[in-house]
Amino acid sequence: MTGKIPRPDMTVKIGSLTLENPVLTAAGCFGFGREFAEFLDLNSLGAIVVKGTTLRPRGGNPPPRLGEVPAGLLNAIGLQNPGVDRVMAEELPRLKGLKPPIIVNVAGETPEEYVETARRLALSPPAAALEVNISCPNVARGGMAFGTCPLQVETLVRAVRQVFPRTLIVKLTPNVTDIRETARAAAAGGADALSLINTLTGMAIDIEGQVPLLANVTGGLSGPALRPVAVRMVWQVAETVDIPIIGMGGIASAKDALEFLLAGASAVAIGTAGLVDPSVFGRVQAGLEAYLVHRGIPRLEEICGLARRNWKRNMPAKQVRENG
Amino acid sequence: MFEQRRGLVLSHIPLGEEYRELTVGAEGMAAARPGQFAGLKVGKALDPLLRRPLSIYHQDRGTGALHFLYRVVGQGTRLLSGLKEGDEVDFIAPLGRGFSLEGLSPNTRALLVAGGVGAAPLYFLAARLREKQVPLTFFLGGRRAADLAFRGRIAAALGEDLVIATEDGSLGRQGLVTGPLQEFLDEGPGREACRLFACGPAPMLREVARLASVGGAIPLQVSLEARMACGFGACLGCVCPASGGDAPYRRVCTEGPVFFAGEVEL
Repeated sequence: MTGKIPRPDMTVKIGSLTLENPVLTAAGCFGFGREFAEFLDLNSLGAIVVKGTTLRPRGGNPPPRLGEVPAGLLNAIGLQNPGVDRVMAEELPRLKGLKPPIIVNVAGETPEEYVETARRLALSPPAAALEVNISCPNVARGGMAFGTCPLQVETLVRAVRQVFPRTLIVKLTPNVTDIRETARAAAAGGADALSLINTLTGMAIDIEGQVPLLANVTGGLSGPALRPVAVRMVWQVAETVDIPIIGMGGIASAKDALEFLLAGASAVAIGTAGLVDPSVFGRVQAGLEAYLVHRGIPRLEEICGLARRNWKRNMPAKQVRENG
Repeated sequence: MFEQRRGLVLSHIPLGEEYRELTVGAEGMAAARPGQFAGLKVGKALDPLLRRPLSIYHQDRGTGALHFLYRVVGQGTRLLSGLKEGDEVDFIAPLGRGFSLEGLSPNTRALLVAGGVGAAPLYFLAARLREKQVPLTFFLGGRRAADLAFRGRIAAALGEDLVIATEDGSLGRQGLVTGPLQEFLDEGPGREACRLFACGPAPMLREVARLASVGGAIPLQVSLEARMACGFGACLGCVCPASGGDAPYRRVCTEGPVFFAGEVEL
């Protein structure tokens, strides 16, 4: 039989959102989209996840905020952002009318701040979804502190859930002993989906100056160096909860993205790689599509978690129980 | 505006032990302004991950080709130095806010103060000032003659308008480059006609700023360096402390790298 092979269906569902393709931007690596509009058509993205937004403006951490490590980046930006009111007045209106849904990453120092920020964003139609950031390693209070205690995670997510009626995503930190516990807690609190992982806390020392490389001393490790940790956590969480996962952590190619999807993610986000090469979003989308076409798979969602299913089929039951 | 593209290495010339002049084809690219920079990917591998921000040293009028003068200091620039004629380079350019030439005329005098390879953006500026017939003096300093091994092109273009100082006295005047600058300000034409431009190590910039502010302030623009991840304003990684204004920090990549002295803490 000859004929044109139909293009695979790349759509994915996250909460009540239907995304045209599974490639998202990772919060904090895409600003509010303005800068990247120079390089790519923002309408080509699956969804746009914008910079971490807090109730009040935050100036961020003192410099140096960046350190380069092998195949990775350490950062301690400190959630610099203009505050939710200015984000709603100045940034979100500019993104209105774009095809991809806008997902606002929300951070805070206290549960009340998260809730109030979410309450205000509920009034801003361009904010199609929230990504609750309980995983920022670079702020003194809040952020990751909430994200490591399952009980606090559940309470916080439930409180935000009550004030934000649209899609609610919770971004988990990898800086925990067992990410399945916080994943379960977020799902129990009412999350529609999970994002994982945020950066892994790390540090580097300047051996010439004999001081820490970052003014904040510690920072978040991102980039390809992080990826195996992220794939492992997506695998574990996919087995634990039945809500969609947005996988991220060092994705720089379609091959990388496929690892996350096969491990159980429904969509992927690209962060650090986009800072270095803004064309990566298009390349990953094209590569995913080519992978499906090459294998005659009509819909992307068929490969989500496929490595898990294959593995289970091939492994003795006892081993599945122990490593699942 | 800036764009991401690939260009061919047109030439790559060693200048002494540590310096290189790299020329990359950029046909049809927007004309760069002095003080702007490019983010160059130094290899196809993931390590090093980030682009290297390099000041534009010169841009050919006709072809748009970009020249970079850089010092081989670390892993990234060492890899960069391995590029050969005909190799392809992925770069984003022209990036950042360049020098403001507002108010400069044949009746003013531009004083350019460079420490080491900080000469790169100032040489580009000097070339544009020459075209506008703005009189200028270029103060170039280094610890020793070898630190100024790249000076050939600058010396040939500027002739007597170039003043060199080295700390060990192995070339030009002995001492810091701010010494001859101070003498010029004390003895030269009126301060009101002068405009200062500087790029180099932080202590040098602070001393230039001090000289600019004592006895009738002289407008000073400085070009800053910072570790950068994106180079185009998205990541907020390269900030420097702001002086005045609402925000505590400014992005070196987009609000700079050229700032007026009053805009940032030096």
